Amino acid sequence: MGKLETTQQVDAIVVGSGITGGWAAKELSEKGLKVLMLERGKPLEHGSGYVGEHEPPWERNNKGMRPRELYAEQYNIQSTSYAFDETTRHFWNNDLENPYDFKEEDPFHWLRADVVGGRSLMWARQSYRWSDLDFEANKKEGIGIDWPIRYKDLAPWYSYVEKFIGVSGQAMGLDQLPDGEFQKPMDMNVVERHVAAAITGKFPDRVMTIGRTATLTEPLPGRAACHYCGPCHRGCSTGSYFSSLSSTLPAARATGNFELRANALVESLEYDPDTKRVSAVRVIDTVTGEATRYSAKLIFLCASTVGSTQILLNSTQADSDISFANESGALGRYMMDHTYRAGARGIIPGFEEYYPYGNRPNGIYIPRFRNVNGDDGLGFTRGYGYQGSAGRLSWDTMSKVTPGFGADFKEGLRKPGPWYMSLGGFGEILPYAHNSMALHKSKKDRFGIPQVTFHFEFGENEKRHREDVVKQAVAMLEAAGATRIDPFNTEMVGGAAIHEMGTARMGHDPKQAVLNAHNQAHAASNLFVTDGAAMASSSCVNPSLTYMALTARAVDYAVTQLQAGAI
Amino acid sequence: MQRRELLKGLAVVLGGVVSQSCSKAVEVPLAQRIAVPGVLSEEQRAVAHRCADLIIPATDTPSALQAGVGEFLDYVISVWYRADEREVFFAGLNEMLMDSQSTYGGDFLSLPESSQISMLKASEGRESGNDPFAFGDSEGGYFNKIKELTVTGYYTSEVGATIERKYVPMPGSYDGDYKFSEVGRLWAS
Repeated sequence: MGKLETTQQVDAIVVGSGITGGWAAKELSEKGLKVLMLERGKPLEHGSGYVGEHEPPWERNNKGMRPRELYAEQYNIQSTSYAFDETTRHFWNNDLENPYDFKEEDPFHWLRADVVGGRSLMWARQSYRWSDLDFEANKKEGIGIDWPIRYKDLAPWYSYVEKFIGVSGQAMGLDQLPDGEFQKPMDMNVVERHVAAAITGKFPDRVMTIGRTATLTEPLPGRAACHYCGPCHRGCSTGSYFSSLSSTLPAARATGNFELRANALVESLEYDPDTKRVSAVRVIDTVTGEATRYSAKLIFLCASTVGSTQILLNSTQADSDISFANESGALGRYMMDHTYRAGARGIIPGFEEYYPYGNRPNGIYIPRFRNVNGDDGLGFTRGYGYQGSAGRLSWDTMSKVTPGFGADFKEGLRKPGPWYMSLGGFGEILPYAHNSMALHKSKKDRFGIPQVTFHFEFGENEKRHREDVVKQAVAMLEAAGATRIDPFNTEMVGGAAIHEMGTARMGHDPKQAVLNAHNQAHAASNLFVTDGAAMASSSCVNPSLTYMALTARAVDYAVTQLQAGAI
Repeated sequence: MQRRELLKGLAVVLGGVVSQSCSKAVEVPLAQRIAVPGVLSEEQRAVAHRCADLIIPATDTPSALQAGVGEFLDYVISVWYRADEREVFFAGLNEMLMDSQSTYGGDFLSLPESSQISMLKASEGRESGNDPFAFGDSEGGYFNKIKELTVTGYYTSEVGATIERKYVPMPGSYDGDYKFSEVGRLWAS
């Protein structure tokens, strides 16, 4: 146990520097609180910390390792991500050094950053609002517990967040996918527009629009509009996509109220049952191993779904192995993700005179159309949306489907191949008690903290909606005249969509939920959890925008309560 | 249907495709692509290099070897390949060398180009069958491997990106209705 630091100058501690931690720090510091941010990962500077940004492809930088063996040995989980390569490896968790537990037949992919900025650096930036179709679903269907908030509670905070992060997109006037404060949309290409028209022509209740993405099409203070160079996940020194590093952390620093400590792993929280407050945060320096304790008036846990819940589960009291935050028994349970890697793709004949210019960091979106106006009688509840894109096949594919070699072969590859269109569904996973994370009874990590162990399985509802995802993707591609249609429905792995959420759900009843309607712990008035752990259901849209809105809203509430003397 | 490229289209927003092919080897910077000597004999190395230039010869743009594909081959074969991949590669290569003696009565490298092309065609014929969609990242024998390595090394080289293709590091905009006739080549970015 380390020494207790003097903490007079720290009003709030924020654990985690990712998408929600950045927002908590910005909001708290702008409201005049002295903020200390604790980040488990390595330091990283905006711009200079980005590897390979704008480097020509033939000079790609890495550290000279032999990546294939290295990945297998040290990054076997992280290297499954599309955003993992030699330019981003320093953002990611080293799986060998930071193990977790799961059974071979019951795998879980915990994709995890290990750097300041967290996964806000390599997120896919898709930003969609929830609607009351989502917030009311649990109550209507008697699944899980009722959300303690509705769309009207979050709508102003969505607007507040969108204006700051910058979301480009097209207003559509859909109840199930509310419009936001959009910058001008990126373009759909000629084939995407063809497919969109064909889909709505055949299925009047379905629309295809350009993705809503936290990538700027118009400049914001200190951030330039996107220059369409392509590999966003390497980092963007012009701040053209939203990340903590480009946006919220600079805003927090500008207040003069913000301090960041990297390499600071939060082990657990100390709880005072008499005052019902978190009295200290226990921290281990990941470089020196030194233990420290901090205290503050407000604690914001923004360490990611699994990270925050691991801290809470490890926060037991002296004579118990039960977390102070687990009166409900819901802590670590009702974990969700999204289903994906189901859908179809096909070749779209024609349009051969067109060849898009620039690397658009965005695709198309087909909002949910299933069970929108009551139960469609399809054998599953809730729904899914599609993401995808159209493009032309290039040398790497065409070289394989073009027999032969020599001058004619080389000449044949000068032209792009045919257009393809791909549609992949993201589907809602219901909250099941058995989908869970817990602390392993004996396995510990290198800091002596119990490892997380996962159990995650997919239910009938998920299997059924995925069958529909594939069937409808094929039907829509057929409507667009596609040939060589290739349906896909690959094996599902929990966590693989990197939308893991739940495990410390919000709800009115302390006997059922960990957090209240303001992301405040039922058990501790000065503790707020505002990342994905708070979710009581999963919707089918990408969740990060909702986490950010919940965070800004929770800070507003927390500071008001603090000033009123209620915390 | 070639899944890799199609999945790459999806990967813009879906993510998650890890190619097992040598395409990831191009992430290794040029200066660090150091081949291990002795894995390839001098003859094997020379024949592999010759095959690369048969696959992508000099035309109005440089050949594979002129683009530095030889060094890429040496690196991937001696360092990047797993033992099982190397075994398949060498088995097919050695078979071609022996056929050269039995069919043409001479070393592959000493044969006229027309005979070398015939031999490489025969190698292709032994592997690919009639279905052009049967090519796979790590499937096939010598021909598919040398073709994949040559093509990958060429199009990702500076020559392949800037002379054979058009490299625009900072597009500055996106135009989904751009005409192919305005560029006339593949984009390299």
